[in-house]
Amino acid sequence: MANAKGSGPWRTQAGVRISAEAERERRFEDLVAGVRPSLERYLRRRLDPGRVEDVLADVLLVMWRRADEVPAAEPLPWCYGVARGCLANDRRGARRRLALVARLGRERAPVAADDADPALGDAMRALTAGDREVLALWAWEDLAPREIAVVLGITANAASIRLHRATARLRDEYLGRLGRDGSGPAGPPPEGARPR
Amino acid sequence: MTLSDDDLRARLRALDPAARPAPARRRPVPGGALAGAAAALLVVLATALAVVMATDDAPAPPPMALALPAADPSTASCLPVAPEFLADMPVAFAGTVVEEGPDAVVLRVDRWYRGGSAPEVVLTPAPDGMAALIGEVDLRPGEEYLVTATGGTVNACGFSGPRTPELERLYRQAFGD
Repeated sequence: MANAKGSGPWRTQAGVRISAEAERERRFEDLVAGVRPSLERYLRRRLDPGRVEDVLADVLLVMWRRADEVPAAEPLPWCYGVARGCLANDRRGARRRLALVARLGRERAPVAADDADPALGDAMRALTAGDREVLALWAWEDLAPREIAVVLGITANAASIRLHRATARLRDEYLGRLGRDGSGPAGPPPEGARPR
Repeated sequence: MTLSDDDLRARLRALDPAARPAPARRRPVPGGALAGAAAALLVVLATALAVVMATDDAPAPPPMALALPAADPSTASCLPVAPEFLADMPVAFAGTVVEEGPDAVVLRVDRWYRGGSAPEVVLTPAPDGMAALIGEVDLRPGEEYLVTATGGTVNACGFSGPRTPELERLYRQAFGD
């Protein structure tokens, strides 16, 4: 991903002055060092494991091309936005691949590790993809509404409203399930579980 | 009952697919490339894995050449694991990783569901073949896994994985108690 020119053309003969290009590269490397683990987790939450490295490479390539646009103060939500776009591209490809094996079943649901709380996993799956995305950014990426807004390219106000509605729907679905089967993680006793 | 936003968020975090104990999550790999990660991961390659079923009291049979059921990109996405698909797998066991090296991972078999009786299974990555990476299972010493194989090839992509109650339930449904 990094510039492959090695010790090349940006140095003067004395090898002292570093050009703007090299400075840009240095800033980019710093940026990547800061956000890469978070981006990798973002992708691992949403992708088959075998695709993570490929899509991460796409993300870094886009970040490199658009490095001048990265908000210096809070780069991570912006980078999540880039990852979101690359993920969408990858899923378009995956849908073509999946069409060949569609008879085997549905695409893997985005909640993959829900054995800790099956009712909550089921509740998430009952929501729309849009609701799930907002909730995942909130809970898994630990973003505030204004940061979610950056990822999704919407206003902070719109993000707040979407998050509020998504949490309300998730709560209803979840408590409804707990009320029905009385199961929960370390959870509320069945008799106490009532949908609000 | 009521559930505050904070509580809901905390419960959602417990479902985070990427949540793992940070120190043990992945060993440092020079260059960070997956290609170098064989020491820490069982990376399931499309071309081949060799599984050696070893026993303590008999000479180990020669390594079996293994191949994944399909190596083309059309199978690159994981599909939901259903008991009826699991039930087709000729080899299934629960095991604990007892040894991990760059060339092999040894599992002590805690229970054979089907297809074997050896006390240990040795998984070795093929010497080459990165044609189609379709999944990976992070194998860590001391941890328990449920593993299926077809034609001598470990199935990743949800058909094998850490021994969770959910996967164990699927195995029991597929192979019987």
